[in-house]
Amino acid sequence: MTASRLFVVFAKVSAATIGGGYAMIPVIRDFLVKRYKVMSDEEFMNMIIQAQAVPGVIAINAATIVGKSIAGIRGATCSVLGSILPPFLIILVIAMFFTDLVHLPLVAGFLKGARVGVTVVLSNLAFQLLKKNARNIPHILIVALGSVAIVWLNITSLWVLLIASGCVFAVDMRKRRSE
Amino acid sequence: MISLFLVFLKIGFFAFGGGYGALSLIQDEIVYVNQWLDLQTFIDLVSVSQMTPGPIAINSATFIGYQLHGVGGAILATAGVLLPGILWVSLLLKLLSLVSKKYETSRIFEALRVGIIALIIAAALRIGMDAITGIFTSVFFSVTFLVMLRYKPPVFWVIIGTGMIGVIVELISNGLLF
Repeated sequence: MTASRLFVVFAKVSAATIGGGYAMIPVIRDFLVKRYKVMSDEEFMNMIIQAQAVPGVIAINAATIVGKSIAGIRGATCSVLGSILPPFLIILVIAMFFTDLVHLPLVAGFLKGARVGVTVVLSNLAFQLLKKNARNIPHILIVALGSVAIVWLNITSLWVLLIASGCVFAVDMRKRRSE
Repeated sequence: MISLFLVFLKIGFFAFGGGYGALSLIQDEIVYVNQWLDLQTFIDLVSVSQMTPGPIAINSATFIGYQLHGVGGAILATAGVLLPGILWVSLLLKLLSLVSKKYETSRIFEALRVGIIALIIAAALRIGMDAITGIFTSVFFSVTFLVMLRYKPPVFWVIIGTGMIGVIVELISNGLLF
């Protein structure tokens, strides 16, 4: 996959995806893992974990890592530029011309509908990943508690990622030892 | 304008945990520490940033930068918030390239791949609680979810498609269609 192709993919994703960085993950995954098949699902998710592990904007961090692994520094540059350019231009237009743009029925309708779409797409990703990676009931319980902790207890997602994964690791260790 | 760049550089440098973490840092710096915007203006800008496509932290940086110093401000603020992440990532990749061949790393990533699902569900819940507000949107969600499971359409077109349906519904409910 060429660097310019990466630019187009990331530009499409960031132009369409409402709801922030996490909403972009299933769309990027669909393009790179399912359609262009440039990496496996495991490789892609490992990169998302790395993007989450360091400070910064998840979508940009992910674009950097994914772009670099596919097409080197050029790939990383094109992916990052692709993912910032459309939102940047959209915000500029809104800020310059009409702050009320988001309240026009046409735009407001699209945003409302697409937000439901993003919820579907994220739920579907969570469902697929659970089916594939959560190997037993404790895993599912840990994941459920983790998401509750983020949304309702407002615990920073990095902590939840580390603690939840630590618990999963411990469960796996015990299991392996007893086998 | 230089101080605007530096402030966003600082925010990008310490923004652990993605967009929502970055937002509270931005609020601190812009509204309280530097008092460049009052709280109400800040909230308005952020709500537009959440509604438009793209990462929320980047969108807010662009918007706030433009409000304060025009197009130049927008570019500087955006660059400021995203550069540190790229630096952190390069550092991490260097580090990982030293250890990633090891056997334990694969076990650790196996566990992390389960943990990250919690973050994805959290994102789905946050957007979902905002998007699904009544019977109509619940039905809309369920039908779209079933279509996704059954026919596995490209994810990009699911978002565009649901957006289009949103436009039609909005036009009908405003009496602009039929």
